[in-house]
Amino acid sequence: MSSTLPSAELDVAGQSRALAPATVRAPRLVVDGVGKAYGGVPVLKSVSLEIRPSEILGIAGENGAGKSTMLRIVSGIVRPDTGTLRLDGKPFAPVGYAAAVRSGISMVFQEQALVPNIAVYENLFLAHEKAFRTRFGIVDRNAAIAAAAVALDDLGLGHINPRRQLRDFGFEDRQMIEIARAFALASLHRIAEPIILLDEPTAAISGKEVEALFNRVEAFRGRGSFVLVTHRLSEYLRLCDRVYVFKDGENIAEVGRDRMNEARLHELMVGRVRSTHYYKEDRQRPLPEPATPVVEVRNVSGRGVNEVSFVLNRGEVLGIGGLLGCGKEEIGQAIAGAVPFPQAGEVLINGSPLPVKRRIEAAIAAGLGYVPRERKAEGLVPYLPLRWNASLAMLTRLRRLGLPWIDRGRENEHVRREMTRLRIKAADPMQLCAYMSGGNQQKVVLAKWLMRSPTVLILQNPTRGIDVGTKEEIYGLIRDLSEAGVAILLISDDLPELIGVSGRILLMREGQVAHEYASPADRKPSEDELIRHMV
Amino acid sequence: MTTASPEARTLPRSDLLMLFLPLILLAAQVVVFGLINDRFFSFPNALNLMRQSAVLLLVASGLNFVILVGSIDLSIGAIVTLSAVVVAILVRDLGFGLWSLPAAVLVGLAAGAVNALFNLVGRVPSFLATLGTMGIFTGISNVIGGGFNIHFEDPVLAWIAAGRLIGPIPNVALWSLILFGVVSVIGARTLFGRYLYAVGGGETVATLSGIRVQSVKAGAFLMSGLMSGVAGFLLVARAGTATQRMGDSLMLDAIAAVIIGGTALSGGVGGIHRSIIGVLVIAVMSNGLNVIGVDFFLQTIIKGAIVIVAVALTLDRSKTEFVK
Repeated sequence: MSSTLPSAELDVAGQSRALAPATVRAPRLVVDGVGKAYGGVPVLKSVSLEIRPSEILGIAGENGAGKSTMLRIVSGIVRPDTGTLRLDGKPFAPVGYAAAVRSGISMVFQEQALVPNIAVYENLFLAHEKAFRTRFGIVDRNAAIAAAAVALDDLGLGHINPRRQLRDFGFEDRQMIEIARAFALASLHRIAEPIILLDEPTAAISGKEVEALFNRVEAFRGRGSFVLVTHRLSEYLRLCDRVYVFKDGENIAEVGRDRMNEARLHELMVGRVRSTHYYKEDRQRPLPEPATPVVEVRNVSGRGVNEVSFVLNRGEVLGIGGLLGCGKEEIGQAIAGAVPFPQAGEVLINGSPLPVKRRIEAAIAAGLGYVPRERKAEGLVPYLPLRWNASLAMLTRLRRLGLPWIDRGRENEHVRREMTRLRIKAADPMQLCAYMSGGNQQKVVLAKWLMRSPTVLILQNPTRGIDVGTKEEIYGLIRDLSEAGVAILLISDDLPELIGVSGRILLMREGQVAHEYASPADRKPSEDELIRHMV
Repeated sequence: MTTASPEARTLPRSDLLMLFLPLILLAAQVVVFGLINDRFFSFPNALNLMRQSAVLLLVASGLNFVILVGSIDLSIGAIVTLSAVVVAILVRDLGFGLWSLPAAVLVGLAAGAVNALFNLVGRVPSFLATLGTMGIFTGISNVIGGGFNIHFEDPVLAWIAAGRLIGPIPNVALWSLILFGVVSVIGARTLFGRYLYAVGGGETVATLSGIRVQSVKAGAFLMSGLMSGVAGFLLVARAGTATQRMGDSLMLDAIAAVIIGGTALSGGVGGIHRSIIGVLVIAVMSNGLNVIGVDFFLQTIIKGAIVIVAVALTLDRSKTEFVK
């Protein structure tokens, strides 16, 4: 696919929106022919790219395309096997992240790399306190605090008191503090314009927070260069002047602002045209009349949810949407019996109420499968083999002669069947899940429940952080299950997904169901319509 | 399906190395001790080695259950002592004979239950809970034993420890190996065994998969207590005398043996069956230092150093996010 790169795709330098000035400035960072292999497996194959001054550059690609490795090389965390980097025209070979920071390159990490129990200013200058050392080798706290205040004010973050502990601030502010850190450290090391790498900055946030972040990034545009890596294609369109598309460790295309659209990026990334029925709407069927209720939620209240009632029918895909903190995640947890336990109300599966104590066991026994939001912390145990993870919920059915002995032959058989059905890419079932891609890990979590032939599935953001190809497979799977009569509760931050996949949508606000939408295949509500009821 | 992707590799080289490092360490010890003094390879010494490692094998494989779920049991040495003292008193004063074995089992289970209670119901971290019960159990031993050594003579117990049922193998080693085999199978082939890994590797994941995490943890403490109780019985049967601190040294030796065997202190990685490798490393070291005639006080220094080196070499840091 990489050989069929259309030449029209190439963007002429200076054509993009932000580079209007007549004097085209030289690129800040030039990556030339960089290659990197892990254990003999190439992750990057001779990749070249450049980061220009004051631009927002995107790097798109599926899982495993080499985006993260490129960011890690640029930020000095990983050294390339071949190729060179030049920063402002000079050879650049940072040894370690701290060295890259001293040269003005910072990374805003997916999982925030800040220390919650120390002050904001200490976080800003962490590992670079040397700059504030007095003659006696003591860190001049007041100087550091003053410098922090200046840096924060400068970025319009004056409301953040640098003396406060980091944990006092919300996610949004913490993310801003991380970006502020990049600017503060750059100026500490006398670098006028930093290069800031944003590695999936929106993976853990939704709606309002994303908007706030993007507004800031745009506001800071003239003061440095940004590199964005994200799983949401729309975010490249929203922010980036140019996007490089990586595929299988190669930089296969550069797309300029004027040629950028979601379908185009998708096609380049996956190597095929995105099917018009990405969410398999064509396979969505109306429910038979009368519908058979499988899950009945009656006046459930508890932490984050207030008097929520709804019915989930056999073969139905019911979507729940809403902003972060609206209670959509909590209602899923309350039904399944993951913490927090509901304080009031009833949940019935196939007509029989679930107990509050040990609800999760009863719910699983009643045919429920629960795919949690945090894959690695809640969905599977990374350092256990695929087989053990997949069979975890059904071991009780794999007893030999009714004794607490595991029938490993049958276990293997079941796991292999799910591996084939879900197309889990693994050499053998004893492979450790830690070494698998996010998409494959999610498939293992799904396999864990599919092995039990569930009647109800609760999916919390099932495609978060997963490449588009695998996403499409999961949507296909949801249709398969729905056709087989499984009732599916889809709780998602991803609006297009929510609209495309669900047959009915509940929007939640402040712990309550604020609105209900029918979402039949031929009359899908628009995103704007839903957003109006979410805020 | 792809086979060339990085995901396809089941066991990275580092994992294979981790599997064999303890064995290499063991082989190195054997060669060194054997070269210094060829008495190390003698038949009587082999039997001696079995006798010495039997009790440690029981304690370590019991402890392994607790470490696998990500907790720790520091009271095992104290349980061994308590069990030994109870057995000695029952045999000497009440003529219990072999009936002291069920008593030892009960003492062990009760001690394990107390640990589980503090840790699971009281929500005291296992490190502190069992540090506390270590003191409590030691104190109980002191009180019921009156602080004296308890000597007894019982032919049945003597046979259990020193008799020979199969060839030249001392019975104490035989029982120990049988029990080790049983718990290894429990660890590797049963639901409980599998749950140990799930709980140790990801408590939330286990809970959300419908596993009763608390029960699994309680089971681990009970196994640890049970094995220490039986170990106490065998130890006192072999010695013929219960002393107030006879189990003390077992705690650190057992922890070292479990870690060297490859079970991570963070839980979820390793296996009950791997205890035996660690036990052999520790036992061969103690035995070898004796055979080549190293001064006792010097021995403890060398032992401490070797344990640190062994753990440093064998600890698989790739799977532990932090080192406690």
